[in-house]
Order: sequence, then structure tokens, then C-alpha cells
Amino acid sequence: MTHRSRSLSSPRGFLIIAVTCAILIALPLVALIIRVPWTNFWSSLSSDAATTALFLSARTSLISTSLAVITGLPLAWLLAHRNFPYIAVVRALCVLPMVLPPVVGGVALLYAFGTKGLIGSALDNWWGIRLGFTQIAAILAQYFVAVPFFIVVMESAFQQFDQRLAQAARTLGAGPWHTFVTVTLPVVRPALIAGVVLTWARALGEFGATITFAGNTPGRTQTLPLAIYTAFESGDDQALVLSFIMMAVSFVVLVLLRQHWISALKRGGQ
Amino acid sequence: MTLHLDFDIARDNFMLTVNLDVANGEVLALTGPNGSGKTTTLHAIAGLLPCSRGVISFNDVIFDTNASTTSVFLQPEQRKVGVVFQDGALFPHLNALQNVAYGLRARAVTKSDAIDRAHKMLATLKIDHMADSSLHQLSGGQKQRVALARTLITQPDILLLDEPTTGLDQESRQDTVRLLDEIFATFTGPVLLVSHQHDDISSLTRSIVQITVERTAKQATSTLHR
Repeated sequence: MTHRSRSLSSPRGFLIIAVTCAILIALPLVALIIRVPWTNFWSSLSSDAATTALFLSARTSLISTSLAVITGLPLAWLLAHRNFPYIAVVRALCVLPMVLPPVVGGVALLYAFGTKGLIGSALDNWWGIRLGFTQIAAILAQYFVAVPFFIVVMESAFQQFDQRLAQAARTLGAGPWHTFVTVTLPVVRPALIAGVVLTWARALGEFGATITFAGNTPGRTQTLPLAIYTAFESGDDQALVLSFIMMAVSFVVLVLLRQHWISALKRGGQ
Repeated sequence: MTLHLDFDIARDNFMLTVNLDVANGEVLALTGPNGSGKTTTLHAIAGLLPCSRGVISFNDVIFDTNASTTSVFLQPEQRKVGVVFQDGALFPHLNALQNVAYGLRARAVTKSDAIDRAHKMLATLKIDHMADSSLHQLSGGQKQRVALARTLITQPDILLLDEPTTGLDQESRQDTVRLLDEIFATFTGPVLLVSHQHDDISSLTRSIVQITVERTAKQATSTLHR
């Protein structure tokens, strides 16, 4: 006896195309995991170069993500709720780094903050501050490429936010700041978490703008992706170990926080 | 001692002109077709949007005026205008008690005091047994009681209600109307009530004004006066 599928049929061919798509994503990751040298995994990981890059990446990505959150929230809120001249231009500018090749971002950052740059020359002349090829440059590069993700997610969240909740808070006696902190932010919390994770992931993976603007100095600007590239160039197995670490960290964070989003969404819903 | 309304709100293709006074203790019902500006009128009084021209004042305190010589716009939190929004607009991340305590906390009342008074207010509205419930555990009528409690606890000078019985089932509607009747009996300030439910209105008040709308191809002009 044959059982016909007791569900609504999908467009013919979708399943096979979808499986191909999933395989194309999974195959390179599987290939990498297979080649990871498990025997000297710990020795590779605990080497000076690896731990230095790990801690540097952790530190810089956390700082750049925090900066993105602090500066991105007000901008996203204004884009969502206020009308001002050239808002379309501002909105386009804010997301430009998302589609810009990161290396172009790095060149642009050099011409802005480098010693001969627009702001950088003044910083150097007046205070002797040189940002190029410092850890601050690595943070700025991560911020530049990552903050658009936060702005896009939060602007959409603020637009979907039921404005009447904020209005109710105001009529109950809460000022604009109190309303934002006690009503708006808690209600958009799922989006906030998603935005932070996306932004942090982009900052952690940043390569092109960093190597152009901040350089590749171990201990100062050589973040994990740069360390992977350097090791890979010299044919070092460490590249595989570090790649695996980045993959595992990203995967674990996404899975852990996915649970978080779902429960947050349930609580936030009607 | 009245709420004095004499203002216009102009948008791209919409013009609302309001001209009426509401005395302390009076319950005035606003009716009119959808999109005629009933909610907009309440929002202007509460300070949720500025008027384009004219004046909104209460007992000689100017809430909003936009004239060539003077311009005043008091923020909502400076007006003591209580608004009960359509469907309640309760805070989804807070439980019933926390919703009611919100206005006190916003005005820097201590936490224990705020919780105490919120319990008392919920008890007055006979809903204190649901104090620790999250919103999705409340029925439409219970949400409406929590919304009323949340507004009344701030002791507003003026009370505005937007469609307080819309979306409720027959039983909760009668229940809410009885409750509103009790609240209005003791409320000393002006009350404005927007509603589609003519049965409910007529059992709550005799003063009813209708917004009239004139529509042309390009513009809708709403007028509200006695």
C-alpha cells in the first residue's frame, strides 16, 4: 500500500534545489572540520600567536560592538521616528558600508583618520595622536563595517514598535528618556539581541578594512581573521585550528542566543 | 474652570477644526465617522501632537498655543491628562500590577509605595486577584480595567478615553459601562469619551457632539463644535 504525502504539495523541484543550497553551505564547513589537525589541536591553539590573536579579537570586537550599540541606537530611533532633511541620504549612507568592499572601507578610513587624512592630520598636528595602524584603528575598522547591521535591524524594530506604548508612558508622566529605557528598549529586546549578535559577528570576522587601515601587527592589530590569513599564507596548520575556533564560537553563540530570541519573542508577544 | 479647545490641526490633505469648552465634571462624548479626527483631538489635548494653530488650555494653564506672538507646547508628562487608549495599549513586558505602578514609578514614587497603591487601585476596580498575571492571561474586559487603573492612579486632571468598549464582548461591555459610570460620578475634571457604540454613550452621558466631515477630491475638512 502506498501512502501519498498527507500535506500540501510544494512547488515541484523546490526540495532538490533547497538541498543543493544547504549542501553548498555545509560542504566547505565540513571539508574544513575534516582537515583540522586534532592531534596537535591544543598545542596550536595555546601557542602565543594564537592566544594573542584570540584575546585581541575578543577585546576589539566587544569594544566596537559596544560603540555600535551606543551610537547606533539614537540614530536608528531618529531614522525610524523623526523626519528631517536629507533623511533618505543619511539612511543610504548608514548602510553603505554593508555593500562596500571592506578594503575600500579601509582605504576610506585611512584617508579620514590616517596621519595624512582629513581628521587624522589635524589629530597628529595638534595632539600628536596617530590612529593608523593602532589597536584603535582595528576597532574603528570593525565599527565601520559592523554598525550598519545594528542600525538596519534597530530601525526596522523601532518602526514596528507600537508607538502608542511610548505615548501611553508619556501621558503617565514618564519623560522621553525614561520612556525609551523602560518601555521602548524592553519591548524591542528580541531585535536588540539579534542586532547585537549580528553586529558582533560582523566585527569579529572583519578582515579587509582592518588589514588596510590597521595593518597586520601581531599583538596590536592582528585579529583572528588576520592571524588565520597569515598562518594560511605560510602553510601553517594553525590556520585550520583558528578557523575551526571562529566557526565553533560563532555557531555556539548563534545557537545559544537563538533560544534566547525565541523565549524573548514569546514573552514580548501578545 | 474648563478645558478650552480652539485649535486647528492641518495635514497634507486633512484639516481638523475644534472649537468647544468642556466644564469640570462634564462627560462629553465625541462621535463621528472613521478618520474624522476623534483620536487626533484626544492626542492634541494629551500633548501627543502639537496643534497647527489656536490654543488648548485648562483652568488658565496653556497647554499648547501656536500664534505669531507666543508659542507654548507642554510635553505630555507636564499636562496631567490621563489617556485610556483603544485596546488599552498596556505594556506587554510588564504584568498587570507593574503596568498600574508604572506611572507612579515614572514620577519617582518609591517601589514599595507604588506597589502598595497599585494593589489598592486594582482592588478598587475589582481586579486585584489578577495583579500578578501577564497580559495574555487577561480577558479583554480585564485588560480594560487594568488600563483604567493605570491611568486613574496618576490622578489626572482631565480624563480621555478612546473607544473604551470597542472590541469587548456584550457582557464585558455592560460591565465596563457600569464601571465607567461609577468612575465618572466621582471624577471632578472634564472627561472626553470617543466611541462608536451609541448605546454605551447614551447610558453614560447626555452631552454628545458629532464631528462633521466635508470631503472634496483633495481635502477632508472635519469640524467639531457644539
